[in-house]
Amino acid sequence: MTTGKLGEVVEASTASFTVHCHKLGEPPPLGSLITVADGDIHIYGVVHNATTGSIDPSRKALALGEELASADEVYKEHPELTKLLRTDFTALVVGFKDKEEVRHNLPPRPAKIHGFAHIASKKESQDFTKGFHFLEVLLNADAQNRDAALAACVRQAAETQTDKEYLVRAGKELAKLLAQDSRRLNTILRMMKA
Amino acid sequence: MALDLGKSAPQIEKMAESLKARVGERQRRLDAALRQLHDPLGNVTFEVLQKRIRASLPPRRKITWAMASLPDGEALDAVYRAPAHVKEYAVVATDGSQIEPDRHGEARYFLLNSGGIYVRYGPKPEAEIFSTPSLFAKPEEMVITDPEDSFKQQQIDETLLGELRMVMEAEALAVRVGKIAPGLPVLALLDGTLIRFVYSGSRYDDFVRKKLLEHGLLQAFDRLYAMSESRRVAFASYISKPGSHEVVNLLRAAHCPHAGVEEAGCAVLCAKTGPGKMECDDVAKGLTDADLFSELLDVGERSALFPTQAPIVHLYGPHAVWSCYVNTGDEIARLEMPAWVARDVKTVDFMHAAILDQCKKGRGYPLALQEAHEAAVVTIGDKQNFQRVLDSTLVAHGMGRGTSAKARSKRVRAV
Repeated sequence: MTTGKLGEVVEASTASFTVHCHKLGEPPPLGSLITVADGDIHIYGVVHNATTGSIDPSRKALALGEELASADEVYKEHPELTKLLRTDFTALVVGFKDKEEVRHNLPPRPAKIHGFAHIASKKESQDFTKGFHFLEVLLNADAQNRDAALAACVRQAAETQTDKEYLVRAGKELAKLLAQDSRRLNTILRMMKA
Repeated sequence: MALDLGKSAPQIEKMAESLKARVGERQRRLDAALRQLHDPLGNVTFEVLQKRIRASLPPRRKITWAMASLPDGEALDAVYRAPAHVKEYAVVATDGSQIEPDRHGEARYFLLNSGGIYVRYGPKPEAEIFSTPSLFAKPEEMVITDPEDSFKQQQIDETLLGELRMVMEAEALAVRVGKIAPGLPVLALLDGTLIRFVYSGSRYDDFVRKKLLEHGLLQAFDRLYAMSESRRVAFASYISKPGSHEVVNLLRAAHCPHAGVEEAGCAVLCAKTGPGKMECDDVAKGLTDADLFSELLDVGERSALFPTQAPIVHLYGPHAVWSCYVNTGDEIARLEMPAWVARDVKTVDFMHAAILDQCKKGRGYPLALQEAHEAAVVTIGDKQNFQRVLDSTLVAHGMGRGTSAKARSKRVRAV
C-alpha cells in the first residue's frame, strides 16, 4: 500500500531517479523514502535533493514582488507562474522489492520513465528500514546532500519503527561503517538528533 | 590594407554634425506636428479636411498619403488618463509559429503551431497554456483551390503561410475565449496588424482572399463579436514599436496650404513643375505616429481612436479596424481593434486598464503575449527533432530515400 502520488519519474538511472512533482513547490521532505512501481518490482529511493525553477531552462524566474506584500500575492498576480515553474526531486536508489522480498541493493533496471512516485507507506517504510544495509548504500553514494538526506531518512524511519532503541542502533551501525571517519560520523549523528 | 583611422576621423566628425543638424530639424517638425494635432483646423475648414481625407482613397487618390479618418466625436489630440487598476478579469492571447516547406526534404509539408495562454486574475486566479500543431502534408492541403473552379489553385507560399497562421491564431483565440466562465471581462489579444494588406493588390485571386480573409480571419472575429453580446470582450491586436503614419499623414492633409489639393492632386501641385514644395513635410517628414504620440501622451495615457481607411478594411464589415496609441511606460504601442470594440466606451476603458496591467506584469510588453509566443514558438531544436521523427517514420514506412544530396551534405559535415 502506498499513499498519494507525488509525480512522475522523468529521468532515471540504476542509482537514482528524478521525479517531476505534480504539485508545484511540494516535494517530499528531504530523506523521505519513495517508491516507484514497475511491474513486480518496487524501487525504493531516498530524497536527497529538490529544486523548483523555470520549466524552460533558457528562461530564469525573476523577482516580481517588489510592490507586493507577500509571496502569495505574487502568485495571485501571476497565476501563470504555476504553469511556468516546476518542482523536481531526486532520490538515491537504496533498494527494491522483488515480489515480497526487500533487498538493500541496486535494482536490475532503472525506474520506469513516467512511473508514478509515492511516499512509502508506514508498512513499507517499516519493512524496508528494519535492516540497516540501506545506510551503506547511502554512505557510498556520490550525491549532493547525501549525509543530510541519510540523517533525515533515519530520523523518519525511527518514527515508523516500534523499536524505541532504533535511533541508537542506527547510530551504532553508522559508527561501524564510519569507523575510519569520525568527523563525518559526528556530523551525521548531530544531524540525526536535530 | 587596414582602415586608416586618421583619414576616417574627419568623416566621422562630419557625420556627427549632420546627425546633430537632423535631430534639430526633426524636433522642429515634431513640434509643428504637435501644434497641428492640437489645432487641425488652423489652415483648413472641417469640410475641406473631410474632402481631403476622402481624396486620399482609391480609386481617385488625389492625395497620395494614406491616412486615418477623423475620430468619431473626439478631438485629434484627445488624451485619456489611465483608468483605475482592473483587478478581476481574464486575458487570452495567442501566437503562432511554423516549420516552412523544405524544398530539399523527402516529403513536402509545412507545420503550423498555434499556442496561447489564458490567465484569470482576481479571487480565483488560474492559468492555462496551450498549443496545437497542425501538419499540412496532403497535396490538397498545400494549395488553396477555387471552390468554383477546381483547376484554379494557388500554392501556399511563404506569405500565405503567414496568413493561414494568422487565421489559426484568431481561431484559437476565439475558441479559448469561448471557454471562459461567464461574467468575467476578457482581454483577447493578438499581435501584429489586423489590417491584412496582402489581399489589397492583385497578387492573389479573389478566391484566395475569400478563403483566408472572409471565410477565415473575419469568421473568427465574428465568433468573438458574437461572444461580446453576452460579455465584455476587449479584442485587440497589440503592435510594439509601430511604424505607422496614419495620423501623421492626416496632419499633412490638415497642414497643406494648397487650396483645392483634393481636386487637383498632390502629384500636380507638388510635382517638380508645380508651385508646391511639399510643405506638408514640415509636419510629417520622417515622423511616425508613435513619435507624435510620445510627445502627447504621458505614461499610462492613450490617444483618441482613429478609424483606419486602408481599402481592404472595407471588406471587414463590423470589424473595420480602429486604432489608438498607448504610452505603456516603456514605449508607445498601437492597439488595433474592430469597430464593435472601439464604439463601446466601457470596453475601451477596460482594454486600456487591462493592457497597462499586462504591460506592468510583463515588464513592458503584455505578459499574455509574451507567454503566447513562448507557447507557440517552434525552436531550431524543435524543428530538428520534428525532422528526425519524420525521417524515421518515413523510413519505417519504407520511404527512406531521404533528403536531397545537398541537404544531406549540410547535415553531415565532415572533412
